Amino acid sequence: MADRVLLVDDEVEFVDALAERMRARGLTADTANDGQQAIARASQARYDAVILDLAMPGMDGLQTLQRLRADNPNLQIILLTGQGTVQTAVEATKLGAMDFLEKPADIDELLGKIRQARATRLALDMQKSEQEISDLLLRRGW
Amino acid sequence: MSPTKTSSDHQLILERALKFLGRQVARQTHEITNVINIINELAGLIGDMTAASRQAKPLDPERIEGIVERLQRQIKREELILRGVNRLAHSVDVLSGIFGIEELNERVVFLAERPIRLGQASLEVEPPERSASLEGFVLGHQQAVLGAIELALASGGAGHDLRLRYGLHAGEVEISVEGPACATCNAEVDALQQALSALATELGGRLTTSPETGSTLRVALVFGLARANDSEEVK
Repeated sequence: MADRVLLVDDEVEFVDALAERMRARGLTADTANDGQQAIARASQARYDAVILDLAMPGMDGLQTLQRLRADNPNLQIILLTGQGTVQTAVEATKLGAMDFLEKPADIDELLGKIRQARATRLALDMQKSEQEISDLLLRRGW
Repeated sequence: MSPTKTSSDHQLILERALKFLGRQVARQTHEITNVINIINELAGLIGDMTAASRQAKPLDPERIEGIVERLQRQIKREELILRGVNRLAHSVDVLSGIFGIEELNERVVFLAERPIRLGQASLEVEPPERSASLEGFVLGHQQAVLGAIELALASGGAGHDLRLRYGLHAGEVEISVEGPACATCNAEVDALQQALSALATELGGRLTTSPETGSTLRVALVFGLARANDSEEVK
């Protein structure tokens, strides 16, 4: 199954071009142009990674990150921004971002991070399933 | 700046102007970076297609043409941003001069584009019905009008429509911004209003906001005209 990624950026041309490049490399890439759209998309599909911009209209990248993580704590989010500061990177990491990359990012580096995100997500999902089975068995007295 | 101002008044105006200039340059460099990032991805797309063509996947001329058009759009966008930034930089060339209201409007509309977009708002502009000029520090006046727009943006929250109007009456121009009033104004709105009022006074004008309550906020800056037009004297 192809890696599935959600690209979130208010620059439509940027996100479209990046999505085209990822699709050409065999990924399934969806796009969103603001935080609300991203939250809606993430609630409808299972993403291996979300690539998220920082400065966006309405809900900014950090607010969107918080909402996405609140809805799905296992979701792996990579911030990709042209306006990064050490302070924002630290804040994003505290809020659960997997990584923080500066634009323009090398596509191969980005793909490497997405593969890493998928592995982390699968491991976390597996852990969650095992925990759920264990809890169920415990409740049934096994 | 008026010749009656003291050197400490001038110092204060220049300090504010310098901070404003820095903030605007930072904003515009973000816009320039955005364009460069798009160009970078589009160039990458062409690179991907070329690499694929080496593995016997033929190049699609229509797709290439489409990418070239997208590149040209971004280059045009970059040109406009750079022209605006250049104009902004030259705002400090003359600390006290005569400038047209239409010119002031063009400068402000350029600077307002990013905050309006990030505020998910729209800005409708009603230009002055005739030519008129102001005398003073054009950077300070840009800061004041943009400040009025930002006050209206902060007041109304995201996703609303603002209207910028220029009204000429009896030797004065009233530059007003209308938008939704805040239901409960926060400290940011109060601070912006105080700063804008101080700036308007320093520039020899005045600020009025109305109503304090109600559904519409109207922020108005009033400045004396230098010259209403070629045939009309300042009253």
